Amino acid sequence: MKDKEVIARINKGDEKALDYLYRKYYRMMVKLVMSNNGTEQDAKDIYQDALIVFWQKVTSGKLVLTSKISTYLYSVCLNLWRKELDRKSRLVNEEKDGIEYIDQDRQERIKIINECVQQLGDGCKKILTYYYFDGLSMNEIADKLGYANTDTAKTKKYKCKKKLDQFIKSKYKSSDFLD
Amino acid sequence: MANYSNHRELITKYLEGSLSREDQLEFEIQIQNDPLLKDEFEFQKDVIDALRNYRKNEIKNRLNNINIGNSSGFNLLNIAASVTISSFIAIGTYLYLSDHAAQDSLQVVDLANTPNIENSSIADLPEKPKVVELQPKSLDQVITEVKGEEKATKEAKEIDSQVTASNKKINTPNVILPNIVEEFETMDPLEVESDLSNNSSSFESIKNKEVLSFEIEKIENSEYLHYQFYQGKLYLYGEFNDNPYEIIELKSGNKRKVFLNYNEDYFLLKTNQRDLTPLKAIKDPTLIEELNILKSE
Repeated sequence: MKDKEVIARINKGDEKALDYLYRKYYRMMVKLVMSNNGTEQDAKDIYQDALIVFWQKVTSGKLVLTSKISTYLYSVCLNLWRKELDRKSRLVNEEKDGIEYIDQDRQERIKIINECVQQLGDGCKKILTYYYFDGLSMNEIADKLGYANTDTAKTKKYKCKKKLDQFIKSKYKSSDFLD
Repeated sequence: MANYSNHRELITKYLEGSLSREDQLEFEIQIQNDPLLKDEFEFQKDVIDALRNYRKNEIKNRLNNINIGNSSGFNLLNIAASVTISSFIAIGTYLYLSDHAAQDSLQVVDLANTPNIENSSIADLPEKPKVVELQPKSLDQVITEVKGEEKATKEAKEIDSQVTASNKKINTPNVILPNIVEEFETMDPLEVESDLSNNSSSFESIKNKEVLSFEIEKIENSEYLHYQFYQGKLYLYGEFNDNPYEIIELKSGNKRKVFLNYNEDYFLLKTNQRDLTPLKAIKDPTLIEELNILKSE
């Protein structure tokens, strides 16, 4: 598969294109991280994250590729890994406990939010993830999901989001936090 | 929380980055001053993050389950390759030791070239992707291919062999089978039949399964480049571990011409050259150009 075809497939939402890239450049990217104080698990994580960044950039139309995909992925991996190394070295210096304590309640809530997202119906899940993850426009979403027009899509998205918000809020009580 | 639902639009705009810089800053101040607003803001942010992470984890899990083969152990191919390699090495050593002069019966036995080799005359290995890109491999040479990958069988074995075909003494040479094979049927015009994909390290797409009509033996030697053809085998002396090289064989009927491409230069290799000869670079610009075209197709 040539680069152009990979990108075309991603725009159609074909995740197999990512599988292809994953296999193809796995050794190259893993080697990058492992030769920079990383384990293979680190490398896997970073490479997968990089592929996801790539996917999102392509689907949202924000990517202007002036080089080969491998070059682009390589530099994303490099940046992500550098950031991760920075984060690790900062964690060593700062007090870990202090940071966790502050976010305790919020972390609890995040858990609940994640559960609720899992339980969303397919239609709402799709429209919300297309919007927030893939970064598609209302036009594109309307096309993909077969809505009559962009207004229909907008309304559907608004309703889904509202439904999700209410569902989550009903699942937790923030009164402890507020009082 | 009715009050703060009004702010939802403001929050949404902030999160989507559609506020002006001033409005952004103003919003950030508001958040710091108003805990209820801050809470709603964090809520919205967390919901959007959760939606994103949902898909992110979906994709990551799928990728994680893709087996890239020998990263965490050996799969069948590598086991088969290891067994074959070990037996080749054993046979080769036996033959060498039992009869020095019996060179012609030797199918060159190969070594996995790894960083663990103690021979100090070998320089550091180049980055694998670089070497690999310039040396497309044929599917026939699965063993060589598998060995060429660092993660596969990491065997640091040396064969202390003496190549008596030459009159010089070479101490503990490193014998490596080359990784490239190319064959062309015509001499004029120079047409390439194989697919040289130099922008990828994936070898599943190689279509050319043809082999060179002779064997190649590289002998690691810090002296200047030499070569010789002896009993149907090409012996290359030089520092071939450091840099990639290519062998181009042109066939036309009974005639054949062999060229070596190494370090930007082309060398003609005469197939009747039995004595050790230094490699001389080709100067003819037309020929160089044709070979370049060949190489890049």
